[in-house]
Amino acid sequence: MKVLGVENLKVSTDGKIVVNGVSLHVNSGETVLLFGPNGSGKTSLAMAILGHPNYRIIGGRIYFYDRDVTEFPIEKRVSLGITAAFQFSPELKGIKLMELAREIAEKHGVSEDTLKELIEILQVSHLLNRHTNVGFSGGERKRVEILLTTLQAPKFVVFDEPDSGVDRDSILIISKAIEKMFELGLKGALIITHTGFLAKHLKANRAYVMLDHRIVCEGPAEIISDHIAKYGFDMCILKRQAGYYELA
Amino acid sequence: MSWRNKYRELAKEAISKPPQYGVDVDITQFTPKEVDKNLDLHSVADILENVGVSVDSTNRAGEYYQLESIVLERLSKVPGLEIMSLEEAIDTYGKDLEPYFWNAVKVDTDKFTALAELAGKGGYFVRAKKGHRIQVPVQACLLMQLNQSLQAPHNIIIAEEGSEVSVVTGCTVMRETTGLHAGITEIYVKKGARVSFVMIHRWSEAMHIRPRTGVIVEEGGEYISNYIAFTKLKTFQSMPRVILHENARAYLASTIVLEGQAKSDSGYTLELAGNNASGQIISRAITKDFSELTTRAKITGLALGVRGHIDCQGLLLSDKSRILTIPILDALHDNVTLTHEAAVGKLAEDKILWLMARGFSRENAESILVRGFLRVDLPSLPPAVTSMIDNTMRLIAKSIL
Ligand SMILES: Nc1ncnc2c1ncn2[C@@H]1O[C@H](COP(=O)(O)OP(=O)(O)OP(=O)(O)O)[C@@H](O)[C@H]1O
Ligand SMILES: [Mg+2]
Repeated sequence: MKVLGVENLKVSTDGKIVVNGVSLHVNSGETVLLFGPNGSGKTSLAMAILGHPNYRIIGGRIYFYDRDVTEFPIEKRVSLGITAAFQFSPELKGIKLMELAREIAEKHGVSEDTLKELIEILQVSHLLNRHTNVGFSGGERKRVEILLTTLQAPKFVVFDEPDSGVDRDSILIISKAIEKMFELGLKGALIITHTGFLAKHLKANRAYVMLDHRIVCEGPAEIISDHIAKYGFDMCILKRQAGYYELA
Repeated sequence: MSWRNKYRELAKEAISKPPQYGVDVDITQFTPKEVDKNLDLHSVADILENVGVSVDSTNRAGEYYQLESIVLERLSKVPGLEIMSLEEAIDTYGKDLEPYFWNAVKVDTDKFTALAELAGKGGYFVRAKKGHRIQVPVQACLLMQLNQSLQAPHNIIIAEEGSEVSVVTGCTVMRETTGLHAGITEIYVKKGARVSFVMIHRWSEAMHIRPRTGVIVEEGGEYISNYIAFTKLKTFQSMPRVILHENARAYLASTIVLEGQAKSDSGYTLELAGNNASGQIISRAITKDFSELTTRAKITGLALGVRGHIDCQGLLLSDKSRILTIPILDALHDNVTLTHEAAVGKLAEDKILWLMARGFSRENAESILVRGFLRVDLPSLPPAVTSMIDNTMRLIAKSIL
């Protein structure tokens, strides 16, 4: 069963086409990777799935299970359980992390025990009394973004580069938190990434490659991530044509 | 009372002197009003709660209530704390009061100080005696209810050497009214003493407000001020002047939320006069509707090793409103550290959307951001003072959106 289905999606922002006819899907229980060079349109796709109003859908459809959510505003999509962990989360001056975490957890019926457990897993206890993201290191910000997203107990999440600028140990920590998310009811994840590390820990099944605002490849996550590391993004088109990426 | 005559004379000369900042007001239309002394405070409890005042007087060191020109109540409940009306203090101390009378605020500053001397009635005299560290606040409340009324109390707070006192003053109207409130407050923080002074204002749309406040902090003393207003009003102008001597510290905060057609011009002047004195001016301003607000902040560094910082943030919740921020740093000594940061704008859309992605409605997201905007971390205050401030801030955050 598909948790998320994107069909021939076209998105514009600032009068410019940033997603140009993208189709992809995430099956129930699946973790799917999305690779692509800087500026290829990954974040734009993530924001369009979330329903961010700055990313206007000008063509195509988005399905959550078999519900067409293309016309739904962000509030409605989030209340269905769709969300995104942002590539760049904002600084919230004056809002203590613990207060915000509690508020999100309470709102979504996540218990205090689970909150404590996640704080432990993500090693953020030293940040709880500080203003959210203000002066946090890059890696701390990423962990906090995962914490707050998990506390929503979402059903589907696009993770936008949760592992960028994150050391190897912290990548392990983040992958543990994502596993915990599945325990809490997550049904599917799309992870935008530039590395294969997180993929290995999470046993991602499939991967897509986005180039110039389009999906150019789909295939087994490990092979694709390997090829990108070795040969770069352009090569994967040739590899695909050569039949390297047939899915089982 | 001859010692007072010279102040009367100075006041008479200054009675037409326009204020340095803000809109001028024709003061001749306002006169002090008498009222029935027997107001039952419980009957106006919810009005008082609007300005953070609870008629339940547990957890208070003392109280002072004034309605229009009439003193309803003044009492001290703890040893080492003296509370009376200004008139009583003058009767009791006579010329001994002079060092604290029109000293931190000059009587001929402008027409409002002059008017307070010539026509003002009441005001509280609060003194913490040497070495008494009083950990619960004095609650003062100044109320107005009559049209074309002048309320110009003259308050004096003295914290003697090594003492500590907190005064929380709520000022408000009992009903929509026109009037002029020009409260004078002189605060004297002696060697090693600590004063926290919280003033909470809530007015109606035809009111003119002109508080005049002066503070002198002696060696090693500490002064913490928090001015909070969330209000409609016609015009407001205030610029308390705080002078710090050697090793003294000050923390001067203000939170102003303006509604309707209100016009406000306010801030603090901080003079770092003694070696190693340090202070901060922190302001949070929110404008709604058609309101216009000017925030001023001036720090003057006059001595060796002084440090001062200004932090002014403005938030426009209506594009018909306006915020003007004017920070001034003035160094008269080469070994000073004076800094400022200022920002004015509307709620950041990217933050709202990020919060919406975390599951909040737009309204929720906005109110979370407003709450964050309004939060200023004060140095630690007695818990009863902190909880009064927190209550008021919660009320503000709730009323804003
Ligand atoms: N709000 C916006 N306004 C203008 N241009 C935008 C906006 N958002 C994205 N773009 C442009 O759209 C293109 C795709 O950007 P996007 O952020 O989707 O890339 P990305 O694949 O996520 O890149 P990266 O790996 O660097 O994060 C870029 O050229 C970017 O500059
Ligand atoms: Mg991106």
